[in-house]
Amino acid sequence: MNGTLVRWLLRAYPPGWRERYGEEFESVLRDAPGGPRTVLDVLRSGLRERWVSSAHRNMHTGADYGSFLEFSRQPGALLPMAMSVAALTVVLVSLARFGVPPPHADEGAAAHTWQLLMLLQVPAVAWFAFKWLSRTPRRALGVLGLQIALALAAIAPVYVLGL
Amino acid sequence: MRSTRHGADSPEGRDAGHYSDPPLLVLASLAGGPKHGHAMIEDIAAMCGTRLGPGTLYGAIARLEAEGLIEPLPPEERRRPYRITAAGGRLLRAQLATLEQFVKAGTKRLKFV
Repeated sequence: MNGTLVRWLLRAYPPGWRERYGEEFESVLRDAPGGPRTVLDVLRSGLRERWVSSAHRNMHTGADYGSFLEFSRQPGALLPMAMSVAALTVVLVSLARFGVPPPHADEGAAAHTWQLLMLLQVPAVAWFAFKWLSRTPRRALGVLGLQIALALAAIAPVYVLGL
Repeated sequence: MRSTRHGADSPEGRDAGHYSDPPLLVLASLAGGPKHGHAMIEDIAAMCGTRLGPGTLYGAIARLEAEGLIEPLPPEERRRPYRITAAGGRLLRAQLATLEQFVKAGTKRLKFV
């Protein structure tokens, strides 16, 4: 089998498999006849290895969801954090524009926006915890810690200043 | 382990009679001594007429290695030989004993066909 076809066929396999068996497999492929039967056999096996590799990643949670940074960038993790940052921004902008309101003043649009952002976080955080705590507890707890810390940061000025 | 008849559309097809259980064939080949991939393909073809494709062979090798039934030896140039482990030997013996029973029972029944 010619070298170009061999290199192309090797791409059917997942990187981890290629790293372990690639060199010796390439040597066997070069000795093999390059007919459609061999090509189909290699493609079918490559896809199977990719499926096995993917199933293995899903089964063995923890180190297989990428780095913590990658894990925490997924929408389910980011959304509550973004809502907390938005809520904190609303409070800070409102304070900067209007100062600390007098006690018992009517709640304005900023207050309602803050309440809405904080309230909608609850189901988002609960969904994240439900989905990820059983699969990859350490990473999920790390992200939950960040989500809670940012929520507390958004709540802190409201309670400290009695807004 | 799975046993299949190889490829033939009809019982009289050209692959009829070929036995194809890649992991078992690899174990049986390595029971005769360590071999690298290409040597296994040739040995298995000579042993039972089944020519494993390279993808099928390495699928079986990866599975058997992961289960500790075979182990790699230091590479010789770009080729890496494998040998059967004690656990692999036990499994092969057990599988062949089952097959032997199956062959005896099947052959006995064929007398009535």
